Amino acid sequence: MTGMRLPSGGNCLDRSRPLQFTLDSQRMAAFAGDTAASALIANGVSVVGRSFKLHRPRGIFAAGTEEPNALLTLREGGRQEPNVKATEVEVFDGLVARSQNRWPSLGLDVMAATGLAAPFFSAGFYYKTFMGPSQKAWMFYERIIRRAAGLGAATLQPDPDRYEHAWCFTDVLVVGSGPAGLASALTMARNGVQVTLVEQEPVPGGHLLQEPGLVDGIPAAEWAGQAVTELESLGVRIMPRTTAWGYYDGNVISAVERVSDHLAEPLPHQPRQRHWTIRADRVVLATGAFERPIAFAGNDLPGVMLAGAAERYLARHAVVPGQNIALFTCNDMAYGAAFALHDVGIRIAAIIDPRDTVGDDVATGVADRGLDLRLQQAVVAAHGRKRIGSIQTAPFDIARGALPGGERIAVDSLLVSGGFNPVIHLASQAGGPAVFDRALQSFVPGEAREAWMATGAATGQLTLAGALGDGARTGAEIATALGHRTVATAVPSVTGDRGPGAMPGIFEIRDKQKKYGKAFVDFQHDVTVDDIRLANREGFRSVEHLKRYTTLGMATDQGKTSNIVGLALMADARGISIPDAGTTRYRPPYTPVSIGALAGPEVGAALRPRRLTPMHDWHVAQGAEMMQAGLWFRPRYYPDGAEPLEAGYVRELSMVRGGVGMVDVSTLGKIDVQGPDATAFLERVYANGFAKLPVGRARYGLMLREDGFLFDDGTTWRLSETRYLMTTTTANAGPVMQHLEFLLAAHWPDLRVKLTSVTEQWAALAIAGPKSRDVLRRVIDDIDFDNTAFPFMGVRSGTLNGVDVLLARLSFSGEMAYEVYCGAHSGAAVWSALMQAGEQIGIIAYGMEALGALRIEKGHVAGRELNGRTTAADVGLGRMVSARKTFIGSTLAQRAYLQQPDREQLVGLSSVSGTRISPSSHLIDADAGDARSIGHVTAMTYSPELGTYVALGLLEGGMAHLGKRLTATDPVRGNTVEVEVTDPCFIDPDGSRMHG
Amino acid sequence: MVDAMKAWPMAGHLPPGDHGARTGKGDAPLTLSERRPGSIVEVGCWPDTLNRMQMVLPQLARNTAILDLAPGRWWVVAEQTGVARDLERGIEPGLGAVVDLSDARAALRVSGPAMPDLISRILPLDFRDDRLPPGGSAETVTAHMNVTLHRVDATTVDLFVFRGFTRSFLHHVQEAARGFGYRVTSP
Repeated sequence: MTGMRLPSGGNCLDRSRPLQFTLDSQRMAAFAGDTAASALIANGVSVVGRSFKLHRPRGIFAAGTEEPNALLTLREGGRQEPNVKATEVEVFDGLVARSQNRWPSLGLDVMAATGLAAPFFSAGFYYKTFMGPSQKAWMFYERIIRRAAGLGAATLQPDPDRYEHAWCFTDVLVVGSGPAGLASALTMARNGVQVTLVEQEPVPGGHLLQEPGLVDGIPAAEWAGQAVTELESLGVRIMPRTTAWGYYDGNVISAVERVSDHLAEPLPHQPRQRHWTIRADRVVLATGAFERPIAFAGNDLPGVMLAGAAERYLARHAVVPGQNIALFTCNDMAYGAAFALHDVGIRIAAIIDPRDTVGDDVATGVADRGLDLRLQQAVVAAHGRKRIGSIQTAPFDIARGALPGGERIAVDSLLVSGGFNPVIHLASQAGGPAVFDRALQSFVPGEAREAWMATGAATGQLTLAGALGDGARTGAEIATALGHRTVATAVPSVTGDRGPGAMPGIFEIRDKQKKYGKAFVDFQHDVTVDDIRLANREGFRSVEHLKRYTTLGMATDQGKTSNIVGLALMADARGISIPDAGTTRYRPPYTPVSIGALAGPEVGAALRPRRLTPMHDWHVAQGAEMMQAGLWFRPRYYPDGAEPLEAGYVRELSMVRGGVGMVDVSTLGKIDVQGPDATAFLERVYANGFAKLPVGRARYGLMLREDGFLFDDGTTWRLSETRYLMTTTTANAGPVMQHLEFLLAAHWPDLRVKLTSVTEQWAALAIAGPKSRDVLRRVIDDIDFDNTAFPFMGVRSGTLNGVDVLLARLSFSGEMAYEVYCGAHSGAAVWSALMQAGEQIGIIAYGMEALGALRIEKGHVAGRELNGRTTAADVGLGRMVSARKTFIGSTLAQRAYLQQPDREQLVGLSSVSGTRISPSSHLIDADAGDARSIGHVTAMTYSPELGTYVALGLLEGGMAHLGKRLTATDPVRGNTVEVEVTDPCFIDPDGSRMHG
Repeated sequence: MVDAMKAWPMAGHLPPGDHGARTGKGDAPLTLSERRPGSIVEVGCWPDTLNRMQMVLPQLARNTAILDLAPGRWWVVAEQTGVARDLERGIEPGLGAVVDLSDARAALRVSGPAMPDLISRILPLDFRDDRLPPGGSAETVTAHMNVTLHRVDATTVDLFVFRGFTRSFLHHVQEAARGFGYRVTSP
């Protein structure tokens, strides 16, 4: 017999809303409020998955997040999601579920043949067996092994749903809405504390939803509903379907809200999931406890289930796991499951309890119902193929274990309870080592290292009255600590409570003669009791070694039902106590978190923000091919039809050299440096002098790092006695600003200087070429462009169509050129006005490739040469460095290492044959018979003026090799060219063009 | 002429109308609109001029919003243009520094009862118990973009973002606002 649904009952079910779903294409009936697990039991499904390694049939074992077996793949297409616990899936109409790790079907899994070899599949089996014959052997075998063993597969299709990020600030966060969570929240809210309550399940209430007792005279589930209503009326934010999965420094809790997981697809405009970062002044951890299994032979057979899970399925979903059920327990609490099942007409075949006595209430309950209680007995084995069919009992003695004798009892289900493990995951993440509780034979939270208090079953308060009382006290304590008058601290009264009674630490019923099959500890990773003893024999005794050697607790359930049992077995094998064997620290996440929730909205085009210049739309409208420079988008070139890149940039370069072109340089970093000490500040941060720079002039500046290497370059314009406009490279705009702000804040707080990024304030363009001045004259009539009135490096302000503009006569290209700055809102209009003004004389827009080619021809350095490993002298700018002042980097720039003549230094390189030089080439002195790289190409271009490819490079010894022929080779791309070492300035060496 | 030369950063990228989830017949819980302040001016002072600046600035910047961004650092936001020049005239270098940022930022006004909820989707800011009261401001980050927030009143904030990020920022905010439903109004 299998599980079934009862005709009535189920406090989470809505029988008026029948649903249909499929498992492996088989139609299943359900009701709204069902989990996939409850519905599968109701449909009589026993086998829901195959185990990871041995492909053993597995059924539903638990009812919540601790479920180790029932992993499903849900949905199809882009929404397909593997490894979802059936116990956490809310069924919706049309849900498509598939079982995992089986072929061709759950019922007939050919890989189950691995079970025949199971005796060999012990811990470390693969690594011991598949290491030879060669070093590559493991690489070969691994792929096959991984195919045979596994979980579900992720889809390769993009996820169609949205995910959100959100932040929550709250006075108190309560994690868990069971009796302790609700009692603490009620006490705090009634006393005026602002509370947020998260509950991982769809309905708040936790264990209250299955408690048979009365709270304040009404059924516990009803009391939970009233408590939630009161909390909402008091303004408490209740967040169902929200799992707090990580506890971080500063009382920050990470949580995932499953907004739409219970729907076929999200409602319009709603996300699939929402990730919350919650900052709470205080946190209440009312996380409850997991029931602990007992290891015995065949304990993984479908039909074996935790007792509390069966009780929960009955109370919430009106389903029963079978119709002839035995209970194997070593505590009083689990009797509630047998009583509840008996009371709805299910046959309880036997209750097997290794203890010699039970509590009076339990004894009365057994007697009243006429149940068959067998004290001082244990279950040594469960028998069956795809489902349990019988159990083997044996007399049991706490000191000696299972003894000969006993009998075989036919059952279709076995409920197991070995005790309770407090859920201490969040407390462990934000606290000291867990503390062993002898009464519980488990661990409770250790020292709080953040502002949390654990309460209720999470601390071992297993009774309903104990959890409610502890919660209320915790709430009152926190309310008082937060400065609220705590007047309303009533503890709810409980009738019909249950206690656990004596709970001896029984973790395994050992089959000493090995008459029966394997006994499992970690179901999901197929770790057996023998694996743990093997780990001990082979020396992997510390819990950390045990975990890694056997993979105990490393599956997707992270050992929620197996860690303590495994630890206890290792302690027993070593002959030490459980606390002496230790426990591992829990790490986030408490339960698996989807990548989508972590990524949030930052996916696809929104992965990184796009930063656009004011002239962006013009570039796009002109057909520019755009490229990314950091977050900025810049035009690479403006192809003429299908013109390829090289033809395009060479055309643009030629037009600039022969006429006039304009390039968008809005992305340059711009910093307003202002204050009475601005000049002194620049003197300290630049390697060259700025003290004598007159107002209305710009100067090229070199900035070094503290270690003497070049950091950045750019021009700085003196706008007034106390104000400068500093420009930086696009890439270093942020780092330079940080560097300068740090210096002001940490080293020179006495300097009266303010730094403000004005990168976005100014739209900037460079207009270059012999006709650039002609264009400017057409639209700017309040600046005298005469060579003497506006000389090279001059800075002037004027207006263009009424817009204030700031001009500096600078040249990156080597041609006569000006940079034109205006307010960013007017950038597009100023750009268009200049393009229009230059139309008759053939102005063009040029992109980054031509900009780079122009500077290479001129020998100007840029990011490829300022690579963090070069000094000013290395790039031919050594003479700029002042010897008369102290500045950042001046001391360490004097190091002998940086003065060595064989350092890599800037040179020009010219292709001897005229063939293309790969920009990634190394430089080799083939004539010397030396294949060692003695330098590399940093940037290259075709130079129409020189009729060949030219490049800049960094070469050991630099200009000492002038005229020498080297081999530039890029073995990756198969390009080898003979080059001649030249001066890096290929055109206009005397600067007459730009000085014009 | 000068106004005709200006292109406001959100123009054409924030189409007026109702968007996102339908919220019934009442007013949309959120309203978004581009703010187009004529002036955004950063003002700083020196450690020994803090008291003097705190007295002088409110007198110089009448009919403006003064955002207190950091010790010795303010923003003056005003409808009128030319505030930077006025402040430069009143604040000599010995007192402090004045930087015109009027073109450096795009500004989005978010208003409506769901404003705090929308903010909780995009910014890690604590709105509890008026920790950020009307008139208050904060500098923070959303989706890698720096944001300066000015709380105008209980249900209204202005968000200032680097001009270059305007479109990414608008996409980010509108995606977050979809679930609530929002109305875009003209600036």
